[in-house]
Amino acid sequence: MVESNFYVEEHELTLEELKATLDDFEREYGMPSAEFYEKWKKGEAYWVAESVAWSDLFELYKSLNGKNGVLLQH
Amino acid sequence: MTWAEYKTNIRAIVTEYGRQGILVGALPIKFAPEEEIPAKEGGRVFARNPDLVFRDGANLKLYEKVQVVNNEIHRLKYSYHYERLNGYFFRYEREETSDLVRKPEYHMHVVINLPHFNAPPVDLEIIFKLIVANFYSPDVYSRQIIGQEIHLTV
Repeated sequence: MVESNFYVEEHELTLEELKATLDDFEREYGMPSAEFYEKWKKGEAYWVAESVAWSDLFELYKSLNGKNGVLLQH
Repeated sequence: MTWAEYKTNIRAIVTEYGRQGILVGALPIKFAPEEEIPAKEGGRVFARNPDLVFRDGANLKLYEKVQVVNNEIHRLKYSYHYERLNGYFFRYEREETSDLVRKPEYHMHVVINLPHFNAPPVDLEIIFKLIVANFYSPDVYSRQIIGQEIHLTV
């Protein structure tokens, strides 16, 4: 067995980190999450390779945002 | 299997390929809960930016939305995107659809994001086995894959 220089980083997301993840998608694909989501719903965002993750995390963010508190930790 | 056990299983899979030297460096796994169900019964698992990195610089982005019902794991959505340094990629996905022909619920992409080819359900363990067998094995089969060039216009 080969010994490798690796380590597992495990992290439970906070709401702020979820928003940062969406920001990252927006920078990478060059459009706001809401605009992507509308295009994705209409089948016009097939060029976005990470559409499953982006759309789902955007839905999660919309459902959590505004409810106050640390909602993503358990 | 509980959600906690499932997360442990994901960690174990990733750790094992790190031990084998297939994956290198930091192996980031993030978890977020499922809003619609109690947090202990499911959530999201993902690794992207940074992705999981292979010893040759290839990377894997993974995303799963998981629900646990009666100790059974249901991956409601997933995306496993493997990409080599030269841009060659494949991606297995499960997502909702209204067009079962153009976009089957379980599908895959190879090299370009369209079409959506029908594919069997997969999980992270299957994906790693598929990747290792095809791209990181020292046998004749893998040697016939690595280094192939593709010049295509659709």
